[in-house]
Amino acid sequence: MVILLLFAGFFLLLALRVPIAFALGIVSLGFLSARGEVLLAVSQRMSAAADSFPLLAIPFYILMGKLVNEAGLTDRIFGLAQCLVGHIRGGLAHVNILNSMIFAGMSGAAVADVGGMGAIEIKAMVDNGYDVDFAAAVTAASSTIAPIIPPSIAMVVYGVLASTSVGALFLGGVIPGVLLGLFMMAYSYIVAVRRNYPLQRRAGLGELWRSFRRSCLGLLTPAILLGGIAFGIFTPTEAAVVAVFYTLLLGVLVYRRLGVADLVRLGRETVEMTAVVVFVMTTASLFAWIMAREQVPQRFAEFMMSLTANPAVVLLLINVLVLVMGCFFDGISILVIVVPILLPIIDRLGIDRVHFGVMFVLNTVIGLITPPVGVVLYATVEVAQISFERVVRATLPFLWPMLAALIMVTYVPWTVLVIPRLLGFR
Amino acid sequence: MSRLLRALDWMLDRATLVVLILLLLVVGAQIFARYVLNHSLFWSEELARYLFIYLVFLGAAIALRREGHIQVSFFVERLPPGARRAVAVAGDVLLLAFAGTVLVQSVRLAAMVWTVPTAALLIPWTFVYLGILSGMAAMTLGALAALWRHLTGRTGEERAW
Repeated sequence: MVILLLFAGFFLLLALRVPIAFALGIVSLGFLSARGEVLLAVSQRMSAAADSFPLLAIPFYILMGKLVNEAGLTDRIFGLAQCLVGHIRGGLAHVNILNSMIFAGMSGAAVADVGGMGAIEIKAMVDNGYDVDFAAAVTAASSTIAPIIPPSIAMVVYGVLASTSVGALFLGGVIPGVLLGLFMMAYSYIVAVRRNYPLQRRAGLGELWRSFRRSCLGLLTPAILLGGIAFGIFTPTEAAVVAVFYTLLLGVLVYRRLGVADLVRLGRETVEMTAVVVFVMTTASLFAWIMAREQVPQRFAEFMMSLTANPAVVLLLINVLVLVMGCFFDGISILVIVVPILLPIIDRLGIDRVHFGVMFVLNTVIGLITPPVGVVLYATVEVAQISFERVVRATLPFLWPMLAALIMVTYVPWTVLVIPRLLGFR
Repeated sequence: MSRLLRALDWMLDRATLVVLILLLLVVGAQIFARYVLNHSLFWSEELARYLFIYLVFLGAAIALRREGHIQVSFFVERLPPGARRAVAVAGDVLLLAFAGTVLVQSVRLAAMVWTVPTAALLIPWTFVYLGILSGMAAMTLGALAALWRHLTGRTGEERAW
Protein backbone atom coordinates (compact mmCIF):
# COMPACT_ATOMS: atom_id res chain seq x y z
CA MET A 1 0.00 0.00 0.00
CA VAL A 2 2.73 2.39 1.08
CA ILE A 3 4.65 1.38 -2.04
CA LEU A 4 1.72 2.34 -4.27
CA LEU A 5 1.75 5.74 -2.59
CA LEU A 6 5.46 6.00 -3.30
CA PHE A 7 4.92 5.29 -6.98
CA ALA A 8 1.94 7.67 -7.15
CA GLY A 9 4.06 10.42 -5.63
CA PHE A 10 6.83 9.71 -8.08
CA PHE A 11 4.54 9.96 -11.12
CA LEU A 12 2.88 13.09 -9.75
CA LEU A 13 6.28 14.77 -9.40
CA LEU A 14 7.22 13.72 -12.92
CA ALA A 15 4.01 15.22 -14.28
CA LEU A 16 4.94 18.45 -12.51
CA ARG A 17 8.24 18.51 -14.40
CA VAL A 18 10.45 17.66 -11.46
CA PRO A 19 13.49 16.00 -13.09
CA ILE A 20 13.34 12.19 -12.83
CA ALA A 21 16.52 12.00 -10.75
CA PHE A 22 15.16 14.42 -8.14
CA ALA A 23 11.68 12.89 -8.17
CA LEU A 24 13.22 9.53 -7.19
CA GLY A 25 15.25 11.20 -4.46
CA ILE A 26 12.38 13.29 -3.08
CA VAL A 27 9.90 10.42 -2.74
CA SER A 28 12.58 8.20 -1.20
CA LEU A 29 13.59 10.86 1.28
CA GLY A 30 9.94 11.56 2.07
CA PHE A 31 9.32 7.88 2.72
CA LEU A 32 12.33 7.54 5.02
CA SER A 33 11.49 10.69 7.01
CA ALA A 34 7.86 9.59 7.36
CA ARG A 35 9.16 6.36 8.87
CA GLY A 36 11.29 8.44 11.23
CA GLU A 37 14.53 6.87 10.04
CA VAL A 38 18.05 8.19 10.44
CA LEU A 39 18.86 9.93 7.16
CA LEU A 40 22.62 9.67 7.44
CA ALA A 41 22.58 6.57 5.25
CA VAL A 42 21.10 8.62 2.40
CA SER A 43 24.34 10.47 1.64
CA GLN A 44 26.34 7.33 2.17
CA ARG A 45 24.20 5.27 -0.23
CA MET A 46 24.10 7.95 -2.92
CA SER A 47 27.86 8.29 -2.76
CA ALA A 48 28.33 4.52 -2.87
CA ALA A 49 26.14 4.26 -5.97
CA ALA A 50 28.59 6.45 -7.90
CA ASP A 51 31.64 4.74 -6.37
CA SER A 52 32.22 2.10 -9.03
CA PHE A 53 35.14 1.51 -11.39
CA PRO A 54 32.95 0.10 -14.24
CA LEU A 55 30.83 3.29 -14.15
CA LEU A 56 33.94 5.32 -14.90
CA ALA A 57 33.71 4.02 -18.45
CA ILE A 58 30.71 6.31 -19.01
CA PRO A 59 32.47 9.69 -19.27
CA PHE A 60 35.18 8.14 -21.42
CA TYR A 61 32.75 6.58 -23.89
CA ILE A 62 30.77 9.81 -24.07
CA LEU A 63 33.94 11.79 -24.70
CA MET A 64 35.14 9.29 -27.30
CA GLY A 65 31.83 9.47 -29.18
CA LYS A 66 32.08 13.26 -29.26
CA LEU A 67 35.73 13.23 -30.34
CA VAL A 68 35.07 10.70 -33.10
CA ASN A 69 32.31 12.89 -34.48
CA GLU A 70 34.61 15.87 -34.83
CA ALA A 71 38.00 14.26 -35.37
CA GLY A 72 37.66 14.24 -39.15
CA LEU A 73 36.64 10.60 -39.45
CA THR A 74 33.08 11.08 -40.59
CA ASP A 75 33.65 11.66 -44.33
CA ARG A 76 36.22 8.90 -44.53
CA ILE A 77 33.97 6.26 -43.02
CA PHE A 78 30.98 7.46 -45.01
CA GLY A 79 33.14 6.98 -48.14
CA LEU A 80 34.01 3.45 -47.12
CA ALA A 81 30.37 2.55 -46.44
CA GLN A 82 29.50 3.96 -49.86
CA CYS A 83 32.01 1.68 -51.57
CA LEU A 84 30.71 -1.33 -49.66
CA VAL A 85 26.92 -1.14 -50.04
CA GLY A 86 26.19 1.81 -52.37
CA HIS A 87 25.45 -0.48 -55.31
CA ILE A 88 22.46 -2.16 -53.68
CA ARG A 89 19.01 -0.80 -54.61
CA GLY A 90 18.36 2.14 -52.29
CA GLY A 91 22.13 2.48 -51.97
CA LEU A 92 22.41 5.52 -49.75
CA ALA A 93 19.88 4.15 -47.26
CA HIS A 94 22.13 1.12 -46.80
CA VAL A 95 25.18 3.37 -46.67
CA ASN A 96 23.48 5.38 -43.94
CA ILE A 97 22.71 2.25 -41.90
CA LEU A 98 26.15 0.67 -42.35
CA ASN A 99 27.75 3.99 -41.46
CA SER A 100 25.72 4.09 -38.23
CA MET A 101 26.80 0.53 -37.49
CA ILE A 102 30.48 1.42 -37.87
CA PHE A 103 30.05 4.54 -35.75
CA ALA A 104 28.16 2.47 -33.20
CA GLY A 105 31.50 0.78 -32.62
CA MET A 106 32.90 4.10 -31.44
CA SER A 107 29.91 5.69 -29.77
CA GLY A 108 27.84 4.64 -26.82
CA ALA A 109 24.72 6.72 -27.30
CA ALA A 110 22.23 7.26 -30.10
CA VAL A 111 21.89 11.02 -30.11
CA ALA A 112 25.61 11.46 -30.77
CA ASP A 113 25.07 9.58 -33.99
CA VAL A 114 22.20 11.75 -35.27
CA GLY A 115 23.92 14.98 -34.31
CA GLY A 116 27.28 14.11 -35.82
CA MET A 117 26.58 12.05 -38.91
CA GLY A 118 22.93 12.85 -39.52
CA ALA A 119 23.50 16.07 -41.40
CA ILE A 120 25.91 14.47 -43.91
CA GLU A 121 23.73 11.40 -44.35
CA ILE A 122 20.51 13.29 -44.93
CA LYS A 123 22.11 15.78 -47.31
CA ALA A 124 23.69 13.00 -49.39
CA MET A 125 20.36 11.18 -49.65
CA VAL A 126 18.32 14.25 -50.56
CA ASP A 127 20.89 15.29 -53.20
CA ASN A 128 20.47 11.88 -54.79
CA GLY A 129 16.69 12.02 -55.11
CA TYR A 130 15.45 10.47 -51.87
CA ASP A 131 12.50 12.02 -49.98
CA VAL A 132 13.77 14.05 -47.05
CA ASP A 133 11.24 12.20 -44.88
CA PHE A 134 12.70 8.81 -45.71
CA ALA A 135 16.24 10.13 -45.31
CA ALA A 136 15.34 11.47 -41.85
CA ALA A 137 13.65 8.18 -40.93
CA VAL A 138 16.65 6.05 -41.93
CA THR A 139 18.97 8.38 -40.01
CA ALA A 140 16.80 8.32 -36.88
CA ALA A 141 16.20 4.57 -36.93
CA SER A 142 19.78 3.56 -37.66
CA SER A 143 21.15 5.79 -34.90
CA THR A 144 19.46 3.49 -32.38
CA ILE A 145 22.04 0.82 -33.23
CA ALA A 146 24.70 2.82 -31.30
CA PRO A 147 23.69 1.60 -27.80
CA ILE A 148 23.54 -2.04 -28.98
CA ILE A 149 26.85 -2.44 -30.80
CA PRO A 150 29.59 -1.91 -28.19
CA PRO A 151 30.53 0.35 -26.55
CA SER A 152 27.24 1.20 -24.86
CA ILE A 153 26.50 3.52 -21.97
CA ALA A 154 23.17 1.79 -21.30
CA MET A 155 24.92 -1.57 -20.97
CA VAL A 156 27.45 -0.13 -18.52
CA VAL A 157 24.52 1.10 -16.43
CA TYR A 158 22.77 -2.28 -16.64
CA GLY A 159 25.99 -4.13 -15.85
CA VAL A 160 26.45 -2.12 -12.66
CA LEU A 161 22.78 -2.42 -11.64
CA ALA A 162 22.71 -6.18 -12.22
CA SER A 163 26.31 -6.84 -11.10
CA THR A 164 26.99 -8.43 -14.46
CA SER A 165 30.18 -8.29 -16.53
CA VAL A 166 30.13 -5.21 -18.77
CA GLY A 167 32.56 -6.97 -21.12
CA ALA A 168 30.15 -9.89 -21.56
CA LEU A 169 27.25 -7.49 -22.20
CA PHE A 170 29.27 -5.57 -24.80
CA LEU A 171 30.21 -8.75 -26.67
CA GLY A 172 26.62 -9.97 -26.32
CA GLY A 173 25.43 -6.86 -28.14
CA VAL A 174 27.46 -7.51 -31.28
CA ILE A 175 25.15 -9.97 -33.06
CA PRO A 176 21.91 -8.24 -31.99
CA GLY A 177 23.32 -4.93 -33.25
CA VAL A 178 24.27 -6.42 -36.60
CA LEU A 179 20.85 -8.10 -36.83
CA LEU A 180 19.16 -4.79 -36.13
CA GLY A 181 21.15 -3.17 -38.95
CA LEU A 182 20.47 -5.99 -41.41
CA PHE A 183 16.74 -5.95 -40.66
CA MET A 184 16.65 -2.20 -41.26
CA MET A 185 18.52 -2.68 -44.53
CA ALA A 186 16.02 -5.32 -45.59
CA TYR A 187 13.15 -2.96 -44.84
CA SER A 188 14.88 -0.10 -46.69
CA TYR A 189 15.42 -2.40 -49.67
CA ILE A 190 11.69 -3.11 -49.89
CA VAL A 191 10.89 0.62 -49.71
CA ALA A 192 13.58 1.41 -52.29
CA VAL A 193 12.26 -1.13 -54.80
CA ARG A 194 8.71 0.14 -54.34
CA ARG A 195 9.65 3.80 -54.76
CA ASN A 196 12.32 3.07 -57.32
CA TYR A 197 15.12 4.77 -55.41
CA PRO A 198 18.48 4.94 -57.17
CA LEU A 199 21.52 2.81 -56.64
CA GLN A 200 25.13 3.78 -57.19
CA ARG A 201 27.75 2.37 -59.48
CA ARG A 202 29.56 -0.56 -57.91
CA ALA A 203 32.96 0.54 -56.66
CA GLY A 204 35.98 -1.20 -58.16
CA LEU A 205 38.47 -3.04 -56.03
CA GLY A 206 41.02 -0.24 -56.36
CA GLU A 207 38.47 2.30 -55.18
CA LEU A 208 37.46 0.07 -52.29
CA TRP A 209 41.11 -0.33 -51.27
CA ARG A 210 41.69 3.43 -51.39
CA SER A 211 38.61 4.21 -49.28
CA PHE A 212 39.66 1.51 -46.83
CA ARG A 213 43.13 3.00 -46.53
CA ARG A 214 41.67 6.43 -46.00
CA SER A 215 39.51 5.21 -43.12
CA CYS A 216 41.67 2.49 -41.58
CA LEU A 217 43.13 4.74 -38.88
CA GLY A 218 39.57 5.49 -37.76
CA LEU A 219 38.55 1.84 -37.93
CA LEU A 220 41.30 1.04 -35.47
CA THR A 221 39.25 2.72 -32.69
CA PRO A 222 36.53 0.04 -32.58
CA ALA A 223 39.19 -2.61 -33.18
CA ILE A 224 41.19 -1.50 -30.12
CA LEU A 225 38.04 -1.35 -28.03
CA LEU A 226 36.44 -4.61 -29.00
CA GLY A 227 39.66 -6.57 -29.40
CA GLY A 228 41.02 -5.29 -26.11
CA ILE A 229 37.87 -6.29 -24.24
CA ALA A 230 37.28 -9.58 -26.10
CA PHE A 231 40.76 -10.93 -25.40
CA GLY A 232 40.80 -9.70 -21.83
CA ILE A 233 43.62 -7.19 -22.38
CA PHE A 234 41.65 -4.24 -21.03
CA THR A 235 38.65 -3.82 -18.78
CA PRO A 236 35.88 -1.86 -20.54
CA THR A 237 36.90 1.22 -18.52
CA GLU A 238 40.55 0.96 -19.53
CA ALA A 239 39.65 0.26 -23.14
CA ALA A 240 37.62 3.47 -23.11
CA VAL A 241 40.60 5.51 -21.90
CA VAL A 242 42.92 3.98 -24.49
CA ALA A 243 40.35 4.74 -27.20
CA VAL A 244 40.02 8.34 -25.97
CA PHE A 245 43.77 8.87 -26.13
CA TYR A 246 43.92 7.27 -29.57
CA THR A 247 41.07 9.42 -30.92
CA LEU A 248 42.68 12.52 -29.41
CA LEU A 249 45.87 11.65 -31.25
CA LEU A 250 43.96 11.29 -34.52
CA GLY A 251 41.88 14.43 -34.10
CA VAL A 252 44.59 16.71 -32.78
CA LEU A 253 47.81 15.52 -34.42
CA VAL A 254 46.93 13.41 -37.48
CA TYR A 255 43.86 15.09 -38.97
CA ARG A 256 44.35 18.39 -37.10
CA ARG A 257 40.63 19.04 -36.73
CA LEU A 258 40.47 19.58 -32.98
CA GLY A 259 41.84 22.63 -31.16
CA VAL A 260 41.93 23.46 -27.47
CA ALA A 261 38.62 25.33 -27.64
CA ASP A 262 36.90 22.28 -29.17
CA LEU A 263 38.33 20.02 -26.50
CA VAL A 264 37.11 22.28 -23.69
CA ARG A 265 33.62 22.43 -25.22
CA LEU A 266 33.48 18.64 -25.68
CA GLY A 267 34.79 18.19 -22.14
CA ARG A 268 31.98 20.36 -20.77
CA GLU A 269 29.36 18.45 -22.71
CA THR A 270 30.85 15.19 -21.45
CA VAL A 271 30.73 16.33 -17.81
CA GLU A 272 27.09 17.32 -18.02
CA MET A 273 25.95 14.21 -19.90
CA THR A 274 27.86 11.90 -17.53
CA ALA A 275 26.45 13.59 -14.47
CA VAL A 276 22.90 13.37 -15.79
CA VAL A 277 23.23 9.62 -16.37
CA VAL A 278 24.99 8.73 -13.12
CA PHE A 279 23.18 11.16 -10.80
CA VAL A 280 19.90 9.42 -11.59
CA MET A 281 21.61 6.16 -10.57
CA THR A 282 22.49 7.64 -7.17
CA THR A 283 18.95 8.70 -6.32
CA ALA A 284 17.49 5.55 -7.89
CA SER A 285 19.69 3.57 -5.50
CA LEU A 286 17.69 5.07 -2.61
CA PHE A 287 14.48 4.06 -4.34
CA ALA A 288 15.75 0.54 -5.00
CA TRP A 289 16.90 0.23 -1.40
CA ILE A 290 13.40 1.04 -0.13
CA MET A 291 11.90 -1.39 -2.64
CA ALA A 292 14.25 -4.14 -1.47
CA ARG A 293 13.48 -3.50 2.21
CA GLU A 294 9.78 -3.66 1.51
CA GLN A 295 10.44 -6.86 -0.44
CA VAL A 296 8.81 -5.50 -3.56
CA PRO A 297 11.03 -7.47 -6.00
CA GLN A 298 10.34 -10.76 -4.17
CA ARG A 299 6.63 -10.11 -3.94
CA PHE A 300 6.52 -9.09 -7.59
CA ALA A 301 8.34 -12.30 -8.53
CA GLU A 302 5.86 -14.38 -6.54
CA PHE A 303 2.97 -12.55 -8.16
CA MET A 304 4.34 -13.19 -11.65
CA MET A 305 5.06 -16.82 -10.84
CA SER A 306 1.47 -17.24 -9.69
CA LEU A 307 0.33 -16.04 -13.11
CA THR A 308 2.77 -18.06 -15.15
CA ALA A 309 6.06 -19.87 -14.72
CA ASN A 310 6.72 -19.85 -18.44
CA PRO A 311 9.84 -17.77 -19.18
CA ALA A 312 8.62 -17.02 -22.72
CA VAL A 313 5.44 -15.43 -21.41
CA VAL A 314 7.23 -13.50 -18.66
CA LEU A 315 9.71 -12.10 -21.19
CA LEU A 316 6.83 -11.11 -23.44
CA LEU A 317 5.11 -9.28 -20.57
CA ILE A 318 8.35 -7.52 -19.59
CA ASN A 319 8.97 -6.48 -23.19
CA VAL A 320 5.47 -5.03 -23.51
CA LEU A 321 5.89 -3.13 -20.22
CA VAL A 322 9.26 -1.69 -21.26
CA LEU A 323 7.97 -0.74 -24.73
CA VAL A 324 5.11 1.19 -23.16
CA MET A 325 7.45 2.89 -20.69
CA GLY A 326 9.77 3.67 -23.60
CA CYS A 327 7.12 5.91 -25.11
CA PHE A 328 7.39 8.21 -22.08
CA PHE A 329 10.80 7.73 -20.45
CA ASP A 330 14.39 7.55 -21.60
CA GLY A 331 16.20 4.23 -21.48
CA ILE A 332 18.49 4.99 -18.53
CA SER A 333 15.56 6.02 -16.32
CA ILE A 334 13.71 2.83 -17.20
CA LEU A 335 16.79 0.76 -16.42
CA VAL A 336 17.41 2.28 -12.99
CA ILE A 337 13.77 2.00 -11.91
CA VAL A 338 12.78 -1.36 -13.39
CA VAL A 339 15.88 -3.58 -13.43
CA PRO A 340 16.30 -3.91 -9.62
CA ILE A 341 12.64 -4.94 -9.35
CA LEU A 342 12.86 -7.54 -12.13
CA LEU A 343 16.11 -9.29 -11.24
CA PRO A 344 14.64 -11.82 -8.75
CA ILE A 345 12.11 -13.13 -11.24
CA ILE A 346 14.75 -13.33 -13.97
CA ASP A 347 16.99 -15.36 -11.71
CA ARG A 348 14.20 -17.59 -10.56
CA LEU A 349 13.20 -18.44 -14.11
CA GLY A 350 16.81 -19.24 -14.96
CA ILE A 351 17.12 -16.49 -17.57
CA ASP A 352 20.73 -15.43 -18.14
CA ARG A 353 21.41 -11.90 -16.86
CA VAL A 354 23.55 -11.07 -19.89
CA HIS A 355 20.82 -12.21 -22.26
CA PHE A 356 18.23 -10.28 -20.29
CA GLY A 357 20.38 -7.13 -20.27
CA VAL A 358 20.98 -7.04 -24.00
CA MET A 359 17.30 -7.72 -24.64
CA PHE A 360 16.31 -4.98 -22.20
CA VAL A 361 18.63 -2.39 -23.76
CA LEU A 362 17.50 -3.36 -27.26
CA ASN A 363 13.93 -2.78 -26.10
CA THR A 364 14.71 0.65 -24.64
CA VAL A 365 16.36 1.88 -27.86
CA ILE A 366 13.02 1.35 -29.60
CA GLY A 367 11.74 4.00 -27.19
CA LEU A 368 14.20 6.45 -28.74
CA ILE A 369 11.98 6.64 -31.83
CA THR A 370 8.51 6.29 -30.30
CA PRO A 371 6.47 9.46 -29.65
CA PRO A 372 5.59 11.43 -27.64
CA VAL A 373 9.00 11.29 -25.92
CA GLY A 374 11.70 10.05 -28.26
CA VAL A 375 14.99 11.86 -27.92
CA VAL A 376 16.23 10.79 -31.34
CA LEU A 377 13.07 12.07 -33.00
CA TYR A 378 13.68 15.56 -31.65
CA ALA A 379 17.34 15.46 -32.63
CA THR A 380 16.32 14.41 -36.14
CA VAL A 381 13.81 17.26 -36.44
CA GLU A 382 16.67 19.68 -35.88
CA VAL A 383 19.00 18.03 -38.37
CA ALA A 384 16.44 17.36 -41.13
CA GLN A 385 14.55 20.65 -40.73
CA ILE A 386 11.12 19.07 -41.15
CA SER A 387 8.23 18.99 -38.68
CA PHE A 388 8.04 16.57 -35.76
CA GLU A 389 4.88 14.99 -37.19
CA ARG A 390 6.59 14.24 -40.50
CA VAL A 391 9.62 12.69 -38.80
CA VAL A 392 7.32 10.52 -36.65
CA ARG A 393 5.20 9.36 -39.56
CA ALA A 394 8.23 8.46 -41.66
CA THR A 395 10.12 6.76 -38.82
CA LEU A 396 7.31 4.62 -37.37
CA PRO A 397 7.48 1.89 -40.08
CA PHE A 398 11.04 1.18 -38.91
CA LEU A 399 9.45 -0.23 -35.77
CA TRP A 400 8.84 -3.45 -37.75
CA PRO A 401 12.49 -4.37 -38.33
CA MET A 402 13.28 -3.26 -34.78
CA LEU A 403 10.53 -5.39 -33.26
CA ALA A 404 11.64 -8.31 -35.42
CA ALA A 405 15.16 -7.99 -34.00
CA LEU A 406 13.76 -7.70 -30.47
CA ILE A 407 11.66 -10.86 -30.85
CA MET A 408 14.60 -12.75 -32.26
CA VAL A 409 16.93 -11.65 -29.46
CA THR A 410 14.27 -12.41 -26.82
CA TYR A 411 13.54 -15.94 -27.97
CA VAL A 412 16.91 -16.99 -29.37
CA PRO A 413 19.30 -16.35 -26.43
CA TRP A 414 22.06 -17.87 -28.58
CA THR A 415 22.23 -14.60 -30.58
CA VAL A 416 23.42 -12.82 -27.43
CA LEU A 417 25.34 -15.51 -25.62
CA VAL A 418 27.38 -17.21 -28.32
CA ILE A 419 30.18 -14.63 -28.59
CA PRO A 420 30.74 -14.03 -24.86
CA ARG A 421 30.71 -17.81 -24.25
CA LEU A 422 33.13 -18.55 -27.07
CA LEU A 423 35.53 -16.01 -25.61
CA GLY A 424 35.23 -17.50 -22.17
CA PHE A 425 33.23 -14.81 -20.35
CA ARG A 426 31.90 -17.10 -17.57
CA MET B 1 23.02 37.23 -5.80
CA SER B 2 23.81 37.11 -9.50
CA ARG B 3 27.53 37.70 -8.77
CA LEU B 4 27.50 34.76 -6.40
CA LEU B 5 25.80 32.58 -8.98
CA ARG B 6 28.27 33.55 -11.65
CA ALA B 7 31.13 32.64 -9.34
CA LEU B 8 29.40 29.35 -8.59
CA ASP B 9 29.00 28.50 -12.29
CA TRP B 10 32.61 29.45 -12.97
CA MET B 11 33.90 27.25 -10.17
CA LEU B 12 31.72 24.27 -11.11
CA ASP B 13 32.84 24.54 -14.72
CA ARG B 14 36.56 24.68 -13.95
CA ALA B 15 36.43 22.10 -11.16
CA THR B 16 34.67 19.49 -13.28
CA LEU B 17 36.97 20.01 -16.26
CA VAL B 18 39.99 19.54 -14.00
CA VAL B 19 38.46 16.39 -12.52
CA LEU B 20 37.74 15.01 -16.00
CA ILE B 21 41.36 15.58 -17.08
CA LEU B 22 42.66 14.05 -13.83
CA LEU B 23 40.45 11.01 -14.41
CA LEU B 24 41.90 10.48 -17.87
CA LEU B 25 45.44 10.85 -16.53
CA VAL B 26 44.96 8.57 -13.53
CA VAL B 27 43.38 5.71 -15.49
CA GLY B 28 45.90 6.32 -18.27
CA ALA B 29 48.73 6.05 -15.74
CA GLN B 30 47.23 2.83 -14.40
CA ILE B 31 47.26 1.23 -17.86
CA PHE B 32 50.73 2.57 -18.64
CA ALA B 33 52.13 1.25 -15.38
CA ARG B 34 50.60 -2.17 -15.82
CA TYR B 35 51.45 -2.83 -19.47
CA VAL B 36 54.60 -0.83 -19.99
CA LEU B 37 56.23 -0.75 -16.58
CA ASN B 38 54.84 -4.13 -15.51
CA HIS B 39 53.91 -2.66 -12.18
CA SER B 40 50.37 -2.27 -10.86
CA LEU B 41 49.62 1.00 -9.13
CA PHE B 42 47.91 0.46 -5.79
CA TRP B 43 46.27 3.87 -5.61
CA SER B 44 45.02 4.58 -9.12
CA GLU B 45 41.70 2.74 -9.09
CA GLU B 46 40.62 4.13 -5.74
CA LEU B 47 41.65 7.66 -6.65
CA ALA B 48 39.77 7.41 -9.97
CA ARG B 49 36.62 6.19 -8.25
CA TYR B 50 36.69 9.03 -5.73
CA LEU B 51 37.36 11.65 -8.41
CA PHE B 52 34.40 10.26 -10.30
CA ILE B 53 32.11 10.89 -7.32
CA TYR B 54 33.10 14.57 -7.47
CA LEU B 55 32.47 14.62 -11.23
CA VAL B 56 28.99 13.14 -10.78
CA PHE B 57 27.72 15.42 -8.02
CA LEU B 58 29.35 18.65 -9.20
CA GLY B 59 28.25 17.83 -12.77
CA ALA B 60 24.71 17.22 -11.51
CA ALA B 61 24.78 20.76 -10.07
CA ILE B 62 25.85 22.08 -13.49
CA ALA B 63 23.02 20.15 -15.13
CA LEU B 64 20.60 21.61 -12.58
CA ARG B 65 21.78 25.15 -13.41
CA ARG B 66 21.37 24.52 -17.15
CA GLU B 67 18.12 22.57 -16.75
CA GLY B 68 19.87 19.61 -18.32
CA HIS B 69 18.36 16.87 -16.13
CA ILE B 70 15.86 14.61 -17.82
CA GLN B 71 12.33 15.79 -17.14
CA VAL B 72 8.88 15.30 -18.60
CA SER B 73 7.52 18.62 -19.89
CA PHE B 74 4.59 17.03 -21.67
CA PHE B 75 1.88 17.85 -19.10
CA VAL B 76 3.16 21.16 -17.77
CA GLU B 77 3.27 22.66 -21.25
CA ARG B 78 -0.49 22.18 -21.47
CA LEU B 79 -1.17 24.31 -18.37
CA PRO B 80 -2.04 28.03 -18.41
CA PRO B 81 0.94 30.33 -17.61
CA GLY B 82 -0.16 31.10 -14.04
CA ALA B 83 -0.52 27.44 -13.10
CA ARG B 84 2.76 26.67 -14.84
CA ARG B 85 4.54 29.16 -12.63
CA ALA B 86 2.92 27.77 -9.49
CA VAL B 87 4.03 24.28 -10.49
CA ALA B 88 7.56 25.52 -11.13
CA VAL B 89 7.72 27.16 -7.69
CA ALA B 90 6.41 24.00 -6.01
CA GLY B 91 9.02 21.94 -7.85
CA ASP B 92 11.79 24.33 -6.78
CA VAL B 93 10.74 24.12 -3.14
CA LEU B 94 10.81 20.31 -3.22
CA LEU B 95 14.19 20.35 -4.93
CA LEU B 96 15.53 22.79 -2.39
CA ALA B 97 14.25 20.63 0.45
CA PHE B 98 15.88 17.54 -1.05
CA ALA B 99 19.25 19.14 -1.78
CA GLY B 100 19.28 20.91 1.59
CA THR B 101 18.46 17.74 3.54
CA VAL B 102 21.10 15.68 1.77
CA LEU B 103 23.57 18.52 2.27
CA VAL B 104 23.01 18.52 6.03
CA GLN B 105 23.34 14.73 6.18
CA SER B 106 26.51 14.87 4.10
CA VAL B 107 28.06 17.40 6.46
CA ARG B 108 27.26 15.16 9.44
CA LEU B 109 28.58 12.10 7.63
CA ALA B 110 31.78 13.81 6.50
CA ALA B 111 32.48 15.04 10.03
CA MET B 112 31.87 11.59 11.48
CA VAL B 113 34.39 9.72 9.31
CA TRP B 114 37.37 12.04 9.78
CA THR B 115 39.27 9.32 11.63
CA VAL B 116 38.37 6.53 9.20
CA PRO B 117 41.05 6.00 6.52
CA THR B 118 40.28 4.69 3.01
CA ALA B 119 41.63 1.30 1.94
CA ALA B 120 44.44 2.24 -0.42
CA LEU B 121 45.15 5.96 -0.17
CA LEU B 122 44.75 6.05 3.63
CA ILE B 123 43.15 9.51 3.48
CA PRO B 124 40.19 10.29 5.75
CA TRP B 125 36.82 9.20 4.28
CA THR B 126 35.81 12.82 4.77
CA PHE B 127 37.48 13.61 1.46
CA VAL B 128 35.29 11.06 -0.32
CA TYR B 129 32.09 12.48 1.15
CA LEU B 130 33.17 16.01 0.29
CA GLY B 131 32.14 15.06 -3.27
CA ILE B 132 28.44 14.68 -2.49
CA LEU B 133 28.71 17.49 0.09
CA SER B 134 30.01 20.08 -2.37
CA GLY B 135 27.65 18.90 -5.10
CA MET B 136 24.64 19.20 -2.80
CA ALA B 137 25.79 22.62 -1.58
CA ALA B 138 25.94 23.79 -5.20
CA MET B 139 22.56 22.22 -5.93
CA THR B 140 21.04 23.92 -2.88
CA LEU B 141 22.25 27.26 -4.21
CA GLY B 142 21.04 26.33 -7.71
CA ALA B 143 17.59 25.42 -6.40
CA LEU B 144 17.44 28.69 -4.44
CA ALA B 145 18.33 30.61 -7.60
CA ALA B 146 15.65 28.81 -9.60
CA LEU B 147 13.09 29.50 -6.88
CA TRP B 148 14.03 33.19 -6.84
CA ARG B 149 13.80 33.32 -10.63
CA HIS B 150 10.35 31.72 -10.73
CA LEU B 151 9.03 33.86 -7.85
CA THR B 152 10.20 37.18 -9.24
CA GLY B 153 9.41 36.14 -12.80
CA ARG B 154 12.86 37.19 -13.93
CA THR B 155 14.25 34.86 -16.55
CA GLY B 156 17.36 34.68 -18.66
CA GLU B 157 19.91 35.59 -16.02
CA GLU B 158 23.33 35.74 -17.55
CA ARG B 159 25.65 32.79 -17.20
CA ALA B 160 29.39 32.54 -16.83
CA TRP B 161 29.83 30.97 -20.27
